[in-house]
Amino acid sequence: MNNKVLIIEDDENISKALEVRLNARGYQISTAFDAVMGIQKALNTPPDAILLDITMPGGNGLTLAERLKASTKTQDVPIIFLTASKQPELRQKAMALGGTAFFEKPYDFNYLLAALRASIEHPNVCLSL
Amino acid sequence: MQNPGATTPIKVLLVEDDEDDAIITQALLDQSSGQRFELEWARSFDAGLTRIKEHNHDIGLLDFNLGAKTGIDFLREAHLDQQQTPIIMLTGQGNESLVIQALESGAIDYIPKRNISAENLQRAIFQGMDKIRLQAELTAYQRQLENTNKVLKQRTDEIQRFYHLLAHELKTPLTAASEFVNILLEGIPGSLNSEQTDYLHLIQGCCGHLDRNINDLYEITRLETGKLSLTQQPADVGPLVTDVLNYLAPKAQAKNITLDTCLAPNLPYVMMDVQRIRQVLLNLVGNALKFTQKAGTIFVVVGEDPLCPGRVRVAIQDTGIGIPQDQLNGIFERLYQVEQDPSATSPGLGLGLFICRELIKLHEGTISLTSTEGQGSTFSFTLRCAG
Repeated sequence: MNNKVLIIEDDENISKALEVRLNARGYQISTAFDAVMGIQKALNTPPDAILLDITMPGGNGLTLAERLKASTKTQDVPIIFLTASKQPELRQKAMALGGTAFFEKPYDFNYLLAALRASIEHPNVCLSL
Repeated sequence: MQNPGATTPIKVLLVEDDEDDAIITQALLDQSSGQRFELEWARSFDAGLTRIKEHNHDIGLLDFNLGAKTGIDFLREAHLDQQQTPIIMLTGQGNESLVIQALESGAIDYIPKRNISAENLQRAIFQGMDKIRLQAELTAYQRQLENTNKVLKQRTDEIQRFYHLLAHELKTPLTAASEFVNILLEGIPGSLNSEQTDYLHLIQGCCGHLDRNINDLYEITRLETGKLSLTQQPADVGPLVTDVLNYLAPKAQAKNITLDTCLAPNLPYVMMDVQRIRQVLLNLVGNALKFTQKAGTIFVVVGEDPLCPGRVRVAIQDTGIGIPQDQLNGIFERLYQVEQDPSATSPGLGLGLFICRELIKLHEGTISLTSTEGQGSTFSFTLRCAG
């Protein structure tokens, strides 16, 4: 069965690119372009992993991650953070919220893919990338 | 000091309960040539306190014995209200310990009555007024400096916020562009011919170049606004060098450049922020790759610095184009560009080596360069050993 990945990313181009590349590798993708849509989709159909942008309209990714970790439906879903921001403290905050990996944009897709695979196989392991 | 020839009278408040002493003080001030004094006499502690709080006087002269209370009590009560009039203590006690007590309580000077003369009274008044004026000026300068610092801090924060935003706004479309190039290169929408593939690799290289420039601009802002701090810990620099060379190996292979290392055995740990030293190594070895022709060699030597005990030296030697002697001095300066053939490789922003120098300085290390034009360059930096 194909793993389900929810991409919560406000930049539609990056979201589309991730969708295309992950689809090509057999992942089943759903997308959300803001925090509210993201949490609705995550709660309606909990995915196997979430790729979560940090800076988004309607609440930032860190707050959204807190909400997801507080719900019994999504608390065990691994979250991989993405950000175009270079604020050094973001990585620490994201990982403290239970993120399994953190990538600065532009990310290396092969590393991202490896982190996604590892997160789905071992959802409770923190990846130092 | 107050100009003795000034015509504006100096207003003096005398707090004195002894009539004879008050008359003598008035007489001493009358003897002054060139400077007029207007003396107001407060005959009691309470009368003096009321008048000093009105701030109508240039200076106060204060007797020590004031009925049941003392001049020290007066100073304490007067200064509770933060009055600004300078006060000189006059006393017949002759007790030196009073000097310290009076000065600690806020008097600006002290004259024993037995030594008083027109000359030293006048001098003390002028000096006291000058002291207060200088203190007021100093306070004003301090406030001005505090305000300037506040404005500078606000400006620094604004610049920092702007660069955060700029990095975000540039990196987002850059990521999308780079990702769609990768989608095409992976052949997801269909296969490509070799020319199309070559062009896409060129775009990919440009995206990488843009990303490095954005990072450099961001780093420079953090360095110059003092926001960049290190997380140093004892670590082995050898494996880091190997890791960086492995990372850059595909680029070296593409130019048929030999990458090699010589790591001294039993290298001591150094104090470093691993990510930052990795950044320095990527920059220096990356530059060496950029400026070394095909089939050249880059050799990274790591060992204890024989000239500087307690330090490890990392040297990156290349067989590249080298740098003219007259341009070696400026190479680590901000925005410096080596003059070169305009058709040669893009010179970049001139920030990379400056960032390297600043990062090494933050590590309390040194960075240097030797080069012979046409033969190659050696960039080296030192890090202090841990422990």
